[in-house]
Parts: sequence; C-alpha cells; structure tokens
Amino acid sequence: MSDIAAINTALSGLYAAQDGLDTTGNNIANANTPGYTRQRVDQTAAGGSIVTGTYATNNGIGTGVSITGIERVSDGYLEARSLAGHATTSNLTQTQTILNEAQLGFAEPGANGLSAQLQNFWSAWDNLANNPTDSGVRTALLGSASNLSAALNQAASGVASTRTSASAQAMTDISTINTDLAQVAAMNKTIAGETLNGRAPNDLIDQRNSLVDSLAQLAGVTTQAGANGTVNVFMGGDTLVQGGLAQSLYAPPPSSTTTGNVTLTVGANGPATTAGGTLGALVAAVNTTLPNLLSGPGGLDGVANALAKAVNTAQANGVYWTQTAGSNPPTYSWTAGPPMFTDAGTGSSTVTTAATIGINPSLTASQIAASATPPAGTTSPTSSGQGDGSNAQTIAELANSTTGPDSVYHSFIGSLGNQVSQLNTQVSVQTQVSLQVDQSKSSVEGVNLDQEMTQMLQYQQAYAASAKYLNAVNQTIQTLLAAVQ
Amino acid sequence: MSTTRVSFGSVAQLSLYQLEQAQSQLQDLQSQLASGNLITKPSDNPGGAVQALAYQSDLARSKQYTTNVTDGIGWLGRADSVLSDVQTQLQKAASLAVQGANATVDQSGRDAVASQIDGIRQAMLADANTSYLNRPLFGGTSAATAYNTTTGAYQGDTNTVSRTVAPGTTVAINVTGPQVFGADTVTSGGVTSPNPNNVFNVLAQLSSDLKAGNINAVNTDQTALSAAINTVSDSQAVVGARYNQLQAAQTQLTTQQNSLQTTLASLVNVDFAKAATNFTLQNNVYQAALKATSMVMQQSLVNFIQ
Repeated sequence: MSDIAAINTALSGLYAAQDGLDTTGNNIANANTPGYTRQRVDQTAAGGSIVTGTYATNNGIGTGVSITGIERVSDGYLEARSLAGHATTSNLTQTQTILNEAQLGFAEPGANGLSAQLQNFWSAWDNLANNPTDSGVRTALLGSASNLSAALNQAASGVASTRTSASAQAMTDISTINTDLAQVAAMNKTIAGETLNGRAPNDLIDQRNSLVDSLAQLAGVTTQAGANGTVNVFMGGDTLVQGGLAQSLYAPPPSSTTTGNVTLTVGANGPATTAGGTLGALVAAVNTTLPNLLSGPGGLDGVANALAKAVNTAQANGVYWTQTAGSNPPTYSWTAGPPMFTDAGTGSSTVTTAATIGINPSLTASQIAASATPPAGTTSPTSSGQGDGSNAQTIAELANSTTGPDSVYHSFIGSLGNQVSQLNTQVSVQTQVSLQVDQSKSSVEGVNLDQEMTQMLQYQQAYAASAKYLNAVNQTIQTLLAAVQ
Repeated sequence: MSTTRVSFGSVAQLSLYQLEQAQSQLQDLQSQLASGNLITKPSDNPGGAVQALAYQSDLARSKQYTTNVTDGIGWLGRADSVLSDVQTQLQKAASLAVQGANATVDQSGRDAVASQIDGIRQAMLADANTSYLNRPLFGGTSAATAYNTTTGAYQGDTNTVSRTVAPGTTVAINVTGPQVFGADTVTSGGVTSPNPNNVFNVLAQLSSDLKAGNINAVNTDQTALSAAINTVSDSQAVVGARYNQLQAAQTQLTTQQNSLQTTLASLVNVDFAKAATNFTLQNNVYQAALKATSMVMQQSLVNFIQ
C-alpha cells in the first residue's frame, strides 16, 4: 500500500469517527423528542482493490473504513403492537370519559337525584291519602309530579347533550384524521423520493410514524410497510393511504340529538367503514352506547314508561267528583281519574320516552283520583267518598312495586355504574399492557444516555487514534522526502 | 448474561406512570375524606350504589309512614277526647234522667231537666260533628258534617278511613257515627223505624217524655240511655286500641329508620380512621416514589465523565 493511500485510510477513519460522534450527538439531542428512533452508524471495513493491474497490487491490507448508512434502530413487530395498544387505549378511554360524564349527570346516590324525586312524589300521594279534601295537598302533589317529569326530561336531555358533544367531537376528529392522512401520503412521497436517491430520510420517517401513531389513537389504523420506505395505512379493512395517495373519511352529522346515526364512509359516497380509536368510541357512543342509556333495555325511557303506566292505570282505577252544575241541594257525579302523565309530543297516555314525559296538560288538581268509591259514572246526592283516600294510598304504595319505576331506575343506575366500573378496569389493564409494549419498544428504539456517552468516548478515542495515525504517515513521508533531497 | 436495554425516555415514562398511579390513589382517598362518602358515583361500587338507592327509598318510605302514623295518632287522639266528653255528657244526662224520674219532682222541675237534656243533645251533636284538620271525625269518608244539627240525622257514610303504616298495611283510624251513637233507624220485620237506642233519639225521647211527665216512659228511656253509654264506651275502647296500635307502629318505624340509617351509613359513609390511615400510607408511597424518581433520573454516565 502506498503512503498516499495510507493518508486516505487515516482520513476514512477520521470521517467514520466524526460521523459516529455526530450521530451520537444527534441521539443525545433527541433523547426527549417524542417518536424519535435512535440512529446508528453502519460502517464496514473497506477492502483493497481487487482489480490487479501493472502498478496496482493488493497485498491484502484494507483501505480503511466506509460508512454504509445511518440506520434507524427500529423493531417492526413492536411498532405494530404499540400502534394497536394506543388505538385500544384511546378507544376505551374515550368511552370511559363519555359514560363517566353520563353517570355523573344522574347525581346518584344522593339527595338530588331522580330517586329522591320519586320518593317525594310517592310521599305527596300519601299526604293526599291523609287529606283527600285538602286542595293545597292536591296542588302540592301536582307540583311534585311536574318536578318528577321535569327531572326525567332533564336526565334525558343531559344524555342527549353528551351525545351532541360526542358527535361534534367526532366531526372534529374526522377533519384532523383527514389532514393527517394527507400529510402521511405527502411524507410517503418525499420518503420514497429520498430513498430512491440513496439518502436516508430517517427523521422524516420518525415524523411520519408519529403521525401514524396519532392516527392509530384517533381512528385505530393499522399499517403495512410499502415500497421505498413508504407505509400503507388501513382502517377496518379499508385502505386509507396507499403510498402517496390518501383517501379521506366522510360522515354527515346525525340528523337530530336523539335519533340519527353517524355513518362513516371512505370518501363522500364511498363504502361504509368502521373506525377504532377515539373516533370509533365516539361513533359507537353516538350510535349505540348513549341511545341505549335512554331507549335500550332497562334504560331511562323504561323508567318514564313504567311511571306513566303505573300511575295512569291507578288513576283510571280511582275516581274524582265534580259538583253537578246548578244542582241545589248539590249532587255530585263521579268520574274515573284521567291520566296524570302524558307524552308531551303525542299527547298519548302511553309515554315512551323520558325526554317527552309530561303532566297531562288538562289535568287539574281536583281531578286527581284519591277515592276508590263510589264507582265511576254514579251520581250521589251526598258527599260520601269525598274523604276517601284509599286510591291515593294504593298509588303511594307503587313505590314498593318490584316492577315500578323505582325498581327500574335502581337497576338502570346499577347497570350504568357497572359499565363505567368495567371500563375503569379495562382502561387500567389496557394502560398497563400498552405501557409494557411502549417500554419494550423504547428499550429498542429509545436513547440511552449511558450508551451514548460510552459511544461518544469510543468515537472520540477512534478519532484521536486516526489523527495520530495520520501524523505517523505524514512523518514517514517527511522522512522519505528528506532522504531523497 | 443478557440485560434489558433501558432507554432514557422509558425510564421517564415509567416513572411518570408510577407517580401518576400513586397520585391518583391519593386523590381518591382525598375525595373520600373530603366528601365523607365512599360512593360518590355509581361506578365506585355499582352493587353498593343500587343498595344505597334501595335503602334511601326504604328510608324515605319509612319516614312517610311515620308521617301517616303521626296523622292517624292525631286523629285518634282527637276522637278519644271527644268520646270522653260524650261519655261525661251522657253520664250527666243519665243522672238528670234519674232526677227527672223522681216522683217528688214537680212538672216545672221536669221541664227544667228536659231543657238541660235538650242542651246536652245539642252538645252531643256538636261533639259528633267534630272535625280533625277539616275532616269530620265520625262521618266516614264523607266530606260533610256528620250529623244534621236540627234533625240529628246521620249524613255521613259507613266507609273506613285508614292510614298506611307499613308496606301494604293499612290501619283503620275512624269510627263512624252509627258505630258510636247508634244507627238512625232499625229495620225489623220489613218495617223501618227510628232506632230507640240512637243517642240523639234517646235524648229527644227522654226530653219529650219528661216534658209530658211520663215517669214510666222516662224509666224505659234510662235503660236505653245506659245501652247507648255502653255503645259509646265500646267505641272508645276501639279507638284506644287503634291508638295503641299506631303508637306501636310508630316505635317500630323509628327503630326501622335507625337501623336503615346505620346500614346506609356503613355502606356509603367513609370510616374516617381507616381512610386517614390509608391516606398517610399512600402519601408515604407517593413520597417514596418521588424520591426514587428524583434519584434515578439524576444518574447517568454524564455525571462521571469530566
């Protein structure tokens, strides 16, 4: 090997050490950068020329070191696991947040919840049973019935407003997702271009993967590596990003706060699709979870329905009196009680939803059927029966009914509590699992300062040694030059 | 030997997670201590929340039963005192009748006695028309006054007035006019005639017999009067028995409410000693986690390379 070639060997060593130091420096600088994957210098020993010629000979000694690339130290399996973990965690957390908000709206168990209103209502019936002829007690009963139906309306509208917020959040998420998808596709293009040109767009890949991670949290996407460093993004079996091309998600907002689903499609008129992550949780909340709180089995609508059914039936079994107009001495006619609760929308005595339960607008305090006798349709010359509160007693005892509104409501609260409590457990387990995966991923991809410091020393020493070698080669050449002068 | 590579970021992440865990447990305990409630939302303990709701409903019902019972006791107390007065008045009428039946008393004396009897009859009618908080005591479920003050005819009905004192249990609290004072009429052999043992009829008869000076008839009236007194005291015994029954129910309800309160409290209320101890313990855990984190995060080779 010639002396001039030896200078090159020294130079390649200096370069390699310099690249090593630079990479280490970059790793240290990015120790806290989210999504940063540590990088490593790939170097190989450079062999001598293997083409023999008249003057070029190869005695087997290498010609230094060459840098083959700067590599991201990543693990595809762990990256996929981490994405899936983040998607599930954010999905569960979003559902937990929504249902927790819903359960807090009921203020149970406590003195201000619906349960307490029901108790006030039944007590008002007992008070009427004790004082059937007192008009003040009748008015108080109507007041507490109206409070009760208002409380049911309020509870239902609380759920509806949670639903509205969830669907608004879904719309915001969709536009964020679409921006991210377009950006991932754009980055894919750049990455492919750089890769084809032989450059390593490591930092761009990290940034793109960060975006994909946020897409996984928002929409539960999965990925597959594409050509030239690109990544293809899928959601529920549909392709969202293919190389440099991105699709966008589309969903019209639901038609009303109580009905109407959010239907997610790929493109404005494309096929329906299913999201995971936060968006999946929001869509599920809008379409099923929250409506089920109202109209599902054992839902709040069932409480309104049971209340109206029980009280209206009992009202119809009882009677109230009116003085026959113009009668002297007075005679009284007896009529079966009209429904107490009606549907505010349809006016029907069958109430189907908690949102629409209301007091029968034509019901007056005197029409509350406190008495059980005489039979409806009779006319009596005396006031006999006006002091009878036995029908009111019967209605007050509906509080203890195992199929009555109280019992339905208690089970409703229990099942809501159970749902949230299960989600709490799932979220805490999933957070642990996801953390484990992230730890494993981080243990491969993250920056360890001790390691970087060690490598820094290594490269520093290598640089110093190469410099020393260069000095030695230089002196050799000087010696030779001095000899020929 | 292989070791797990630990990254700078993962140490920070794990430390943060553990600190957050410790802090969130500390916060749970803090909110328990501050609110005094173990169950502040259904998800804290779904089964317990349903039980708490059921206990709260039972308690509210029980309190309402106490209100019903108290109302019933008021009613019966009033009825009892009215019936005592009726008894006194009738005893007085009986002794006046004895006086009027005395052959040594002249007609003007009998007329005086008769007018006293008339006075007693009016007082009896006033008693019979007593109402408790606007509800006629002896009129059944009728809203009108029980007796016509001129004719002494019963205007009420024979229906029962009751109070709910326990789930599905009602106790009758009223005695009707006919039960206390005797029916207005009796039907015998298909013929309906005024009931000679009705208090008001007896007193009217006695008065008119005295005015007529018919001593023999007065003697017969005395028998009828003592029969009427017996009927009244029977009614008073019924009233007394019901009064006792309601008082027993009241005591039982109070006991039941105490036990419900205790059960509810043990379900939803924080045991402060326990919570405070746990809080201190958890606080120590948190402090330790903080200390460990600060020490681990400080250390790296950087500290030793000069």
